[in-house]
Amino acid sequence: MIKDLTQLESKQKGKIIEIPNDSKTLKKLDALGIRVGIEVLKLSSIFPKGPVIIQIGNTQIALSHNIAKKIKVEIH
Amino acid sequence: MKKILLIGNPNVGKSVIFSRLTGINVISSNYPGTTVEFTKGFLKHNGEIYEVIDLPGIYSLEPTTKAEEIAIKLLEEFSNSNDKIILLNILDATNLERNLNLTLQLIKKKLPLVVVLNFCDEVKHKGITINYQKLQKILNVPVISTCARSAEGIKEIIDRLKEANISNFNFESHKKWEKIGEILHEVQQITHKHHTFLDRISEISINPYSGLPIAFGILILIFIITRTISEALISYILDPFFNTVYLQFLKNILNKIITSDFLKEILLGKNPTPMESFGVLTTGIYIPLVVVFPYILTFYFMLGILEDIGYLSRLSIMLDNLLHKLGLHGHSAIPILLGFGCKVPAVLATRILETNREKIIAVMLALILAPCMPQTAMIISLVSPYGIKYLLLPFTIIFLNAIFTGFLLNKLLPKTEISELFLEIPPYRMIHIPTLLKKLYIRIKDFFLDAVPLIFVGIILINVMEVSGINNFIINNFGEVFTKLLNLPKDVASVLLLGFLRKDVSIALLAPFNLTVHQLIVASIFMVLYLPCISTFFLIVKEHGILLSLKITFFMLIWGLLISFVINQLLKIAFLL
Repeated sequence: MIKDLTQLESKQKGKIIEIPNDSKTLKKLDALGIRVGIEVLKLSSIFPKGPVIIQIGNTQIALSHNIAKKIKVEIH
Repeated sequence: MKKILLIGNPNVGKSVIFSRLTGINVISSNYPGTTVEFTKGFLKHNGEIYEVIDLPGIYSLEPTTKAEEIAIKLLEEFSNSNDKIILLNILDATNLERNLNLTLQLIKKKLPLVVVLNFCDEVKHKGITINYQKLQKILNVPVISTCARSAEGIKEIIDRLKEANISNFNFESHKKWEKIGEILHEVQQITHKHHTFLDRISEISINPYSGLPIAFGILILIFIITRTISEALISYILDPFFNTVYLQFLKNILNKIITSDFLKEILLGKNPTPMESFGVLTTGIYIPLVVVFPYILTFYFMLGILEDIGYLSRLSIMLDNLLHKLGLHGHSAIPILLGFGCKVPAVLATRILETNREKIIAVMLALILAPCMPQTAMIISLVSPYGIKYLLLPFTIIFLNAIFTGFLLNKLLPKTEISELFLEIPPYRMIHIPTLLKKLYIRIKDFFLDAVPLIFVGIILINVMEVSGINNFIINNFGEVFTKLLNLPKDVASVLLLGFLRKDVSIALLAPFNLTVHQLIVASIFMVLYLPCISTFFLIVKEHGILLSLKITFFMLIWGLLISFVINQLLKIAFLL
C-alpha cells in the first residue's frame, strides 16, 4: 500500500518510494539522508496541518505539512 | 597563523568542543553584509598559537539556507588564503550515516582533515559499536572519539592536530550513499536499542496532545522567571547602585570640571529623575544598563538553557502551526516570545529569519503583541486602582489587535516563497555550563557593542531637537490632531509625542493629568502601539535598513492611531450603556 507521510499513522513504518523533485527541497532532504529506498518511521504529527515528525536511523526530523505530503512511502 | 576550522552538522556538540579548545578570548563576527555569525577563539599548544573558527552548522556543502551558504563561503575564503588550515570535522557518532555525508564532501576539498566522532557516551547507550581504527584506515585521516561534555578525547584532538592530512579516499559523488553504506557495514555494529528516560520525555514533548500544553507551560514559566529575576536585579542592585553610587559620583566630578551650563544640561539633563532627565550620561546610561540589560541577561540565559537542552526545536515545531496563520513559521517563535519582555532582544533575534516578509511580520508582532516590561509596570500602577476588569482590558485589546494585525499583514503583504519548516530534532542532552556561559557572554557583548551606542546617539539627537525647538514645534502643530481624535486633554499632546523618545516611562507621565479610566486605557493602548521606542527604532534601522524601518514605523503610527480611535469610540458606547 502506498501513502504519503501525512497519511501514515504515528508509529507506522514505511519505505520511501517518491520524494518531491524540485531541486531545493531535494537538496535539503538529501543533506539529512532522506532519499528513495530508505526506511522511515513516523513519530507524530501536529494537527491539523502542522509539521510531521519522522525518524530515520537515529535522526528525528520535523517536516512541514507541505513537504510531508509530497513524500510517498510503501507500507509492507 | 595556523587556522583550525570546526565544521559539522548542527547539534553535534561543536560549540562544546570549541569552548573546550579555546580560552576566554572569543570573538563573534558577522559575515560582511549578512547577519550570520561565526565565532573565533585561540588555542595555544607547544608554543604555537592556532586560530580556532567555529563555522555555522551545515548538513552539506550544497547550501540550502543562508547560514549554510555563509559557512561554505567562509570555508572557501579560508582555504584560498595563505594561512595553513586544518579542518576539524565534528560528527555525531550516533548518526554516522547522515554525518559521513558531509565528511565525504569535505574529503573532496582536498584539505588537511581530522575527523572527530563526538558523543562516545551516547553511542554506548544506543547499543552502537564503532571500530575507530578501521574507520581511520578507510578514510585515511585521523579519527578521534570524544565525549566533549566530560572533556574525554579533547587532549587527543590537540595532540593529533599535527597528523591532519589530505585523504586519498576516492569515490564518485553520485554514489556517495552507497559508499557510506559500505563504510558503515565495515565499521559499525548495532546490537540493541533500549528506550531511555530522555527518549520518553522527547516523545511526550512532540506529541500534540501533551506537547502543546507543555509548550505553553514552558513559555509562561520563562516569562515569569525572566520577569522576576530581572525586576529583582533592577530594584535591588542596579537602580540603587545607579542612584547612590554612580549618579553622586558623576555630579561631583562634573560640577568640578565643567562650568558651562549648556554642556552640563546635555550631559546630566534637566530633571533629577534618571529616566526623565535625558542627559547623555544619566538617561543614556540608565536605559541600556538598568532597564534593558537585566532583561537581556536573564532572557538569553533562559534561552541558552532551552537551546542547549534541545527543547527549542521542539518548541518551534509546536508553535509552527499557529504561526503559519500569521505568515510565519516555527523559527519565528523566539523573537515573538522575546517581545513580551523587551523589544531590543526581540529585534536582535529576527536576524535568524530568512525572507523580508517574515522579518516585517515578526518585527511588527514582536513590537505590538504586548507592552514591554517597564510599560506593563506603568499601566498596572495607573489602571489597577480602578479594578481588575479595567486592568485586563488594555492587555487583552493589545494582544487581540496583534493577532488581527498578523492575519492582515499575512493577507496584504505580497506572497513570496514561504520558507518551509525543516528541522532536525536533537535528542535531549545535559547542559555544559561553561559553553552556556560563553555563549551568554558573546550575546551580552554584542548587545553592548551593537545596541548601546545607538541609544547614546538617540539621546544626543533628542537633546539637539529639544534645544533647537523642534520638539516644541511638533507638539504645537501636530499635537491637537492626536488629542482630538483620541478624546484626550490638549496638554497630553506633549506626553504622547515625546513618548517616542521616552516610551518606557511616558505612560507614567500621564499620572498628573487626572484622566478618566476610559482616557487612561485609550492613552495606554495608543502609547504601546504607535511607535517603537528609540532604542528599538535604531536597532531596527541597523538590522533591517532605514527603508524597512521607516515602513514599519509609519505603518505602526497610522495603525496605532486608527486602532486607538476605534477603541475610543467603542469604549464610549460601552460606557454609555
